[in-house]
Amino acid sequence: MTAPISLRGVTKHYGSFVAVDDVSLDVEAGSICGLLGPNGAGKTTTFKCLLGFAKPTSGAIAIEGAPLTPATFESLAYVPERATLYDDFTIADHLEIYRRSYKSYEPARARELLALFELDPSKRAKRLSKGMRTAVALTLAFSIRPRVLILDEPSSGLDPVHQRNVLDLMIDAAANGAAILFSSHQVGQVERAADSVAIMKKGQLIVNSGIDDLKTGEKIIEAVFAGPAPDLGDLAGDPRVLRIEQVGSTVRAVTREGSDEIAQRLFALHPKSIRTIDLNLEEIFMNAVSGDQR
Amino acid sequence: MAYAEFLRARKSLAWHAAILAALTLAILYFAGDSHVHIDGSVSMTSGMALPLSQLAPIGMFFAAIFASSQGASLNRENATRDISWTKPVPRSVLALQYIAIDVAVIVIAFVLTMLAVAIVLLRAHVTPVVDPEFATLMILGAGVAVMWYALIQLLTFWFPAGARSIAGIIWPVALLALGLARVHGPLGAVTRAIDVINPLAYMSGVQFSSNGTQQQAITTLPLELRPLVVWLFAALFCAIVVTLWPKKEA
Repeated sequence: MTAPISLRGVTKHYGSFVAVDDVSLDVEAGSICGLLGPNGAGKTTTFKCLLGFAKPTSGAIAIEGAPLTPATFESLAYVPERATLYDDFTIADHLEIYRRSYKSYEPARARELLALFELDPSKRAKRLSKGMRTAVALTLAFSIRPRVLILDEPSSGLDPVHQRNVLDLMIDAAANGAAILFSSHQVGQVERAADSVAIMKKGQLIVNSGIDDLKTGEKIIEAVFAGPAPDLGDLAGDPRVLRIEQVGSTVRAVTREGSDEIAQRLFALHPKSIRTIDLNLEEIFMNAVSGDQR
Repeated sequence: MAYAEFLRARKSLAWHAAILAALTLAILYFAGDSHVHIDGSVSMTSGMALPLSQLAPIGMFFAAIFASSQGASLNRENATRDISWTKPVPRSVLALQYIAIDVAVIVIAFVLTMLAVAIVLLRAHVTPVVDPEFATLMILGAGVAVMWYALIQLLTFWFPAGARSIAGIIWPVALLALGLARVHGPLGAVTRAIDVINPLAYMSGVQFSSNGTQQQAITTLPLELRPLVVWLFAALFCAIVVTLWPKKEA
């Protein structure tokens, strides 16, 4: 069965600039995929292609197994990085626009969300702070109980309490079968909510994996020597070693696999102490985008 | 339904009605009830009979100003495409809905203006006469305002911003094109060619000045054909917009 969100070899050129380069990604029903990447990595362009705002130069996109059509949006919700609202209209006007546009709109759900984000429906959009605008966009998005959610920085401008609410809403939606793709600069949010992570750099998808697999895959072996670190031989050339960091008498080897064997090789150099550290997602992300990954 | 555009149009129409009401009251207050002077070419004295068709340019003028405010609706929507383009409605249908709402309120604005003029006439004890050209000029007046709207829509829909500037600058350009069309030689010929898509050109020569002489027309089209031509141009401009707007990329 095709994943509700599916990109196959999607490439987008703007002139000679390649914004998205051969990206393939699936997000299954009931799962949350966190899309990470530095600014300009191609995340927003990928979203634009997914939503039909931009035409991919090549590749295929399917939402719930079919190419995007206007009818797709009955069950697809999008929250942009900068929440787009009609500035002269009230929050209630926006809800009315949704009521008239979506068969799947649920007024009771919208009221729940307004209460959750402490929004006054009579307020005009131009009087809302950035965080409140994001909250309105989220209220609109979740009020149709979408089966597919695409969220670009969904907690942008929100206070910590409401950031947590957003993550809870996403987890709840996924538990009810929604497929969610969201981007964030806060790796901690991805770590908490997502079950898989995709990392983009310069338009390319350089990591696409389950978070647990990533965490168990990459480790740091840290060895502290009594004096200056000895000659490490060809350790840096070992394909299982991603990177060697050497500061004074401490040697840190970042490994993707075979950490036990690497630890044994370092142990053979008679360190004062040696330990294995699991990488957190932030370190994995930094490793991936720093350009040191082999 | 394009409820967002409906809300905007309703607000604009309320403003239009309020301005008309204020102008009407001001004219009635300052002119008294013996002599009413509406503009440079229509002068009314108590007891006189006035062909209603002569007032069509006034309705057209106010409706065209109103159309300027509505004309960039699809350009405005570029800023909120995250909402409008993610509705379960084809973009071409959305564009058509926007245009239908805008055209409807422009026609209402035209009718409201004519009603305001009628109130001024009645207060001035001027007898309005429905002359043979009344229907033609009403359809033409509303059509010119709608063509004005469609032209602004055509000139602005593709750009991400700057619509207000375009909607503003089109007025002096159109008026200049009317003026230069009367010039002899190549400049006049070129301007007359440009005036084919200048909505104001189709209203030229329809009004008599206060001394009873008819103004010179810019267009050579007979009056009976002009309503058809302006509405066809409006439809053509709107069709181009409806075809191309959905193809825009964000």
